Amino acid sequence: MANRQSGGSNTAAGGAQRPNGAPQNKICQFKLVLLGESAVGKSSLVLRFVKGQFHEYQESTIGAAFLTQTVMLDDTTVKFEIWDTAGQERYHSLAPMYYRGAQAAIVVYDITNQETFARAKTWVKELQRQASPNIVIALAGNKSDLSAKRMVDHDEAYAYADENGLLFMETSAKTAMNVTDIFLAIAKKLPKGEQAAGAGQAQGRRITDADSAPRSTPNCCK
Amino acid sequence: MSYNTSSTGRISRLISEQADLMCKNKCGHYGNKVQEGYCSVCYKIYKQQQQQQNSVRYGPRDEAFGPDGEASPGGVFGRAGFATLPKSARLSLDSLSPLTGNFSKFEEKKKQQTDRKTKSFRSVFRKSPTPSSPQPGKKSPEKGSKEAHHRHGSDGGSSPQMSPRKVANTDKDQIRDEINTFLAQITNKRIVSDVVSKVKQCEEVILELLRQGSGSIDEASDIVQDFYKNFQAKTEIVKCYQEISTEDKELLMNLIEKYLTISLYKELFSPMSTATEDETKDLELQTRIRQLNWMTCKHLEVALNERDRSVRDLVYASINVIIGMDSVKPPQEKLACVTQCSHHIIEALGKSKQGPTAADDFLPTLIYIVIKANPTRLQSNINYITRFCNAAQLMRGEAGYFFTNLCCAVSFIQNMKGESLGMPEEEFQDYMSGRSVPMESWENYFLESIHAMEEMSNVVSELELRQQEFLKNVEKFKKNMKDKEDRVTEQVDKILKRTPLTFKPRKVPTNIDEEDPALNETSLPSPLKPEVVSIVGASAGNESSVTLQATTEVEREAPSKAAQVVPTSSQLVNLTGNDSEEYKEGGEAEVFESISPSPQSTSETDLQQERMGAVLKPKEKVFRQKNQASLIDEGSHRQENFAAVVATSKSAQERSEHREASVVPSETKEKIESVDNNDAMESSDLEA
Repeated sequence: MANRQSGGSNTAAGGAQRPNGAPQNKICQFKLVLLGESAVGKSSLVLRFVKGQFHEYQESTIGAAFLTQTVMLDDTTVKFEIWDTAGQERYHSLAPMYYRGAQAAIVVYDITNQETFARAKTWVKELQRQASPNIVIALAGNKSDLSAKRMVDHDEAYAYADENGLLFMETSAKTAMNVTDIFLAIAKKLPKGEQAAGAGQAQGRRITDADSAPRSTPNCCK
Repeated sequence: MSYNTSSTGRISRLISEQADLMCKNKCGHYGNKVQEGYCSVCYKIYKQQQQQQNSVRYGPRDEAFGPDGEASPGGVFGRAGFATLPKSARLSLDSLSPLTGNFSKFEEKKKQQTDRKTKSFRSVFRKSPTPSSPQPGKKSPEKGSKEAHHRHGSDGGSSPQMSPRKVANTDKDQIRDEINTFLAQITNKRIVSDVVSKVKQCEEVILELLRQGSGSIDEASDIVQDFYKNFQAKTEIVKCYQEISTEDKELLMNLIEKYLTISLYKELFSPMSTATEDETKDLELQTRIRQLNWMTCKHLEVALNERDRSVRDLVYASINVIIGMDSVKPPQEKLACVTQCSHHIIEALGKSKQGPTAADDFLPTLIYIVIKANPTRLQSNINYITRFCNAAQLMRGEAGYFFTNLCCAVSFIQNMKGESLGMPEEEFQDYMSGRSVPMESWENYFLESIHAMEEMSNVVSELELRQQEFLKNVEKFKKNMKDKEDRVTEQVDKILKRTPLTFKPRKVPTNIDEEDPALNETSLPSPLKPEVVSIVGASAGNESSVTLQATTEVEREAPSKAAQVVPTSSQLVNLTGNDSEEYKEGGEAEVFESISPSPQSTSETDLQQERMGAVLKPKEKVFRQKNQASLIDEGSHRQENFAAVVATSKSAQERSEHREASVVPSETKEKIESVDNNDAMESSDLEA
């Protein structure tokens, strides 16, 4: 499949970086943001990935808003920190606070709902404009088990993803189809160089005053 | 607002008269005529000075300063830092260390000198915060900040700059102890001295910066953040730090952060500089939240089931925690409060609805909680955390996530419009201005009483259930008692029936030697008569052999007497033994147990005798018959005994029944009474 191929090419890119990094098993931590209209199955997707479960009525004690999961990738341990966001339209304006400093984002839409796809497109546009420039964006068409009710064409979505340089997969949290795959594909595409450890900090700090940096350096850092 | 004008008036008046009011010591505080023109602090020192006029000069303690200088390993931090710093830094550092009872006059003198040196900055800083803001006190934050510092435990009129000279700050002492204990564990003293000097330097730099009044809080934040970053990098690169484990490094970073933020809390938290206006924002946010008080779960589509008691408890818990955020000092602890609050919310949501709690539910609930809690100085707290918490921590991890959510909630509250709640703008404005109150909020007012009512009815139904169960138990117990009684009577009847008490006529023991008058002399063989033999010696021998024979016969029959048994009586006794065991199972056997040993022992001996009897030869039956009369006598005796036993057992049972019966009613009465009372109380409550 096309998306698998793209994943493969990314592995090669990741491999190329390996000689630069440390030879032993590295641990990279990434912040991943989930975006998408409410009820497209963002949290189900994450729960399937993190806990490996899907129930219509899940254990209610689980907080699916913030979860972490580790995947092994060749010589690297990739630790995902998954930040869920509120999908309702009224909270749209708050999204930048969430994806600030994120290295990856999954924009989720529901294949049985054309509106969620349109919304996903606006998310992608916003991410490309406002998020950190090297953010890895994946587009996930969730609920692929409900293909009978499909409203969003696979090829259409794929073409859109291709145009915008996104990873694309149709997933199903219910059947677990492509769930781990999409996270793995993201893990492969993420740069695992030196930047990984301090990424959050570097991008998270607000722009500092040009004066203060040289001023503080002689005082604190000798 | 009303206080706006009043505060402006007051401040301008104070400024005009400030010269007359200042402390004689020129420390920057206001003086008091009662205290000879000194401010409270200087007056205290002045008095102490007078008292100690002739006391011994303080020598060796000079090197160790601060309360941490007392304990040798724990004092590392203070001393080392002191030693490595230049003189000017020493002096000002000294002024930072808390004043305790064991402080010497020497140090106090030094303090005064320091104060004199720095007074000019201070008075400038206090009265006109920054050169860039030529109109101090024009805005409401002036008053707000004063209130804030009041709340911080400094007594009236003192500025935050002077606070280190106050009585020992417990937070500060604690973190000093903590960091000193940690450093004492590190064997490499180079690390210790490095950490100490760097931290002290950073502290100094920030103090200098803020004291001059030229630096903004953002600059201080940058310094702190750069310090964190560089120190972190240092621990990873520099060789001597490799000895410390990663966990310890993290701990060290945390401790440093804690130390810096606690010791500089008053300077860093909600600073007075007009550039940031944290206080103004606090007030704005607070007013805004107060205006939003009419909001309910429905407006935000919050899925909390507030009728559930446990959910409500969790909601209150989360509100408490978020309010408590203001009272802790280090940013990490403030973050911990946010995290804990979030966990409570997630738990409450988990109890209110099916499925996992995602951000779709969480964020609205957090907004709702923030509106309901209206935490004090929320904006200041958020700004403080953003500025002085290690940025690397803030951007990742659970705490970072929940803090981001809190920021989002605040931002949403600030920018909320009618549109964001799905209602016409006009309606929203009406609600905000208090012109009208949404229907749902009336529900809120009634909610509490409804909750109380529900809780009461729950209690009542619970009591009802308990009472029912109790009555059932009583019935069961009664039935049990009756069953037992019946069973005992039945058993006793059965036994009595099987072994009726029949008294056989008493037989007079027969005398073997007695002549039976009924017997005819002729029917008996003629008695042996000694035969007269001519030979004297032979006749004597015969005679002796006959007597011998007779004695042996008598001897042989003697034991059989004892062996005679009345089988019925032994069976009877056996039965009672069994019965007693049966009752034991029934749980009512205590009474019987005390009686049982006697019949059991009787039955045992009887059994033995029976066994012996079985061995008897038929030849001896004759003798048995002879003894029968006496033995039957014995049997009847035993039966009488048994009857007595049964009688006692019966009476004992009756007694036990009586006892139980007498216990039951009192208990029932009590329970029923309590239930009645509750009912009465509740009904009265409901009426009320």
